Amino acid sequence: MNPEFIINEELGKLISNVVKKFPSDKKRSAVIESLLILQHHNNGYVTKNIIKALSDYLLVSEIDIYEVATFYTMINIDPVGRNVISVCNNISCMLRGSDEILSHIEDKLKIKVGESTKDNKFYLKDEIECLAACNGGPMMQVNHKNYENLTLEKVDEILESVNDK
Amino acid sequence: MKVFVNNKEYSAEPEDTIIELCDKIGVHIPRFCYHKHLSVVASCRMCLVDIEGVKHSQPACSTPLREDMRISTKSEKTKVAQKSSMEFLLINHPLDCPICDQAGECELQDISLEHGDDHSRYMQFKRVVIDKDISPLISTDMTRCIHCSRCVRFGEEISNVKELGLLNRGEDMKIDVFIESSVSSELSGNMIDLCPVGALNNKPYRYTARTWDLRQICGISPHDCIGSNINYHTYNNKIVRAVPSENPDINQTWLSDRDRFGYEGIYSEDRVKKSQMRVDGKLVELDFESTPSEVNNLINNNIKKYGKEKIGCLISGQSTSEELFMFQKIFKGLGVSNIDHRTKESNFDYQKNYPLMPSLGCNLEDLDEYENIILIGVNIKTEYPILSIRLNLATKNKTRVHSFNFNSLDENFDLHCKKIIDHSNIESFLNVNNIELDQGKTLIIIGPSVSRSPNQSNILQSISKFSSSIDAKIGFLTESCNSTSGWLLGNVPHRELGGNQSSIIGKNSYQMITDKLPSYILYNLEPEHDFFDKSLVESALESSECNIFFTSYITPMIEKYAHIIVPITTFAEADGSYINIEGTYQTFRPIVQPSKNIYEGWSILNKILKLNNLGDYSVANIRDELKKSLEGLDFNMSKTDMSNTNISPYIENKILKESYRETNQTDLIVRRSESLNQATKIKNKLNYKNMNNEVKKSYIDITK
Repeated sequence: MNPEFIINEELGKLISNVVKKFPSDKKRSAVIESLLILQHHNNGYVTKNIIKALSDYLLVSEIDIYEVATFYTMINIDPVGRNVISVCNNISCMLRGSDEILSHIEDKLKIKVGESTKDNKFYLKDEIECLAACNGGPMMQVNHKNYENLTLEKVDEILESVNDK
Repeated sequence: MKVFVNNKEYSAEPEDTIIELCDKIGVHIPRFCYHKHLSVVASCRMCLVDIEGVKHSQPACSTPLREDMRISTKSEKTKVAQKSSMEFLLINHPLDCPICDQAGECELQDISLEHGDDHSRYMQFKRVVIDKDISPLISTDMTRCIHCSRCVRFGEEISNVKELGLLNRGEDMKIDVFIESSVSSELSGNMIDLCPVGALNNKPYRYTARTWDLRQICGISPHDCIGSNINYHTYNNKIVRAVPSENPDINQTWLSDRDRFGYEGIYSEDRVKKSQMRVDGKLVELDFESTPSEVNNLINNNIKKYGKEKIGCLISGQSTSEELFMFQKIFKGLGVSNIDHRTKESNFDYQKNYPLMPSLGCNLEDLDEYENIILIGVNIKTEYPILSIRLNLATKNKTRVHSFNFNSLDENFDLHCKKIIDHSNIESFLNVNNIELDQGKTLIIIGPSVSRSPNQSNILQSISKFSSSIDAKIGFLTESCNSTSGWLLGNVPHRELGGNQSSIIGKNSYQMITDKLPSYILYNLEPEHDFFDKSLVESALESSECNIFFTSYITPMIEKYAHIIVPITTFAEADGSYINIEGTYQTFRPIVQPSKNIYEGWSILNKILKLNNLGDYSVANIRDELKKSLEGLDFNMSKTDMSNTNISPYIENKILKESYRETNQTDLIVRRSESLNQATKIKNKLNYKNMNNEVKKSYIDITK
């Protein structure tokens, strides 16, 4: 029943692996991980049609999936930049100067936290919780890869080194 | 178990929670998110109570009772807790009560008056939520929402169609529908009642009246045979809205949208306002006093002119029991035996062995005692929405529901098996090997699609045989709200009042129409939609000479073929009663006064009866006689044997019409409800939008 998005065999395999982890009558539990898989496949965000497709696949109502998608910041329902920057701003990193790092990135990319650059190259993610690298604070993740002990120069270097596909 | 509430001792059930006990003993505890038919979430924190020996106040809705528990609902600690909860809830609630429809019946307003502070310490900006148009029946002001999530839980647990959800979190949390979708379930109106504040409100009623100016009168739903209890709210002698009246045996605290908004039909433009008579081919108005005698003269002249057996008397199964009683009293009294209320049916071979009256075979609240329920020819979701709540709970319990229908409509509850059946092969289909039955009791429910079927008798016979082979009970769901009365009160050609066999068997509705009689008397029927075949009715009326219509609405066909039109009241304007499908006899008073030239249905019939010296009744007299004839009837008949029926062979090429009815097209009042028609339109549009292209193509082909 979905004109635009079809869960293909490859995605289906990944999702069915997730579904297997839960009891057969608790398919709703597989929603978060399935959304992450689909989001990864779709340049970092999910659309109405993806949610519908997942709803048909898991037999969970659309609104249930939409609730999950809007609750968690790790799932985006609006289009975002291709490369995701997550600057940790929890206590350890904050004490080590993460605020400065963050505002430096904001100035450099001319965007605010939670926004994407105009050319859609970068997305500066909002509401980042501790990324479990307190020993190397301040730290950030770019495309799920950790960069620790940041300085402003290091940040510039890292961002310039990002190869856009 | 012994517990103490406010230092008074009470005995309690161990499985109860504090709030359940307090509701039983009449101690009031304020609450928003708790509702007795919904699951407990304890999210509003309004029901906090002080328990001796427990440091913090505990939510009464989720705390189970224990032996010797000492609960205090009025102590200082409770009061502080309630006041604090109230302060949090009011932080973001707008102060727009003067323009809010909920004001006056708002739980937040009442509780804040009782438990809240009289000023706010909050100086910052309040939260604002942008509204969306989610339904033609529900208006939204989401800024007022306090996130109790009753509406969400209703969709999840009761109607089983989850359309509203809690989106986002924290400060941004809001109740909303999925992207570009809407609330379209047949039970959506219940969310209006559940909402404790003015966030979800009745859209057609919006800004019509203030709640404290309304008068409340209880009525019975005329739209389906379940007989939901409804409180109608009137303002200046006009019904402005309907809310459920609690009846644990029938509709609990719920109401289907059809029952909630159906009343709008009585304010339709095409109501007949004055009696009319055809003089020289033109309809001219007739004055109020002379109408009964004119009608009576016409009836008697027709009988003289054409003979008793040439008069066709048809009455709608939606008429009240009083009207049905008087109708057969007059015409059987005058010797006319062509009387029928089954105008949607076309095959009557079954009628001799039919039970006394159609009945569900069990009480509504006992449905979940059956291990198997087999639905034949009925779609509960669209035809009896209120029943889908019961069946939903039953399926969640242990009941397996099988659905065999002539079309592929979905249900809102889980079906164990769903099959599309054909009219001709039903006998071979109904076989133990085809149906996966669980051990235990079985109930077969026969729906209106079977009655409308051109080989109804065949199907009934097969079902009867099948039921005795698996030792199942048979139940019926009828087309109209009062078909049970139609049968019991002798509005069938072969039975008298109380169900005794008639000595002369008259013509049934199919014979009356196809035999093209010279004179028809139609009571409360719309020839366009209330018959099994519109074109047959039209040709019958065309060839007839003198027709009498008792009707609330004037339709093109009535205007064209009537000799006399008598305006009668609808269910809302006269005393009446209905017998629902479990056999509950429910009476109601007039909700509003009819306009002065409209006759109360039973009273015009009574006047005609009087003119013929056949008796003189008052409502009380009629009801006494009704009760007499109903005494000692077993509504939950254990077995129905219809297997010995002589049946003429099934003719394949009979056209099958209207095997499915639109939810909001079932009777002449609902058909005229504007809000419901609007809702249907939007729903169809949405369905169309969500179809994939292939289905869309076929859809267009069908409409061509």
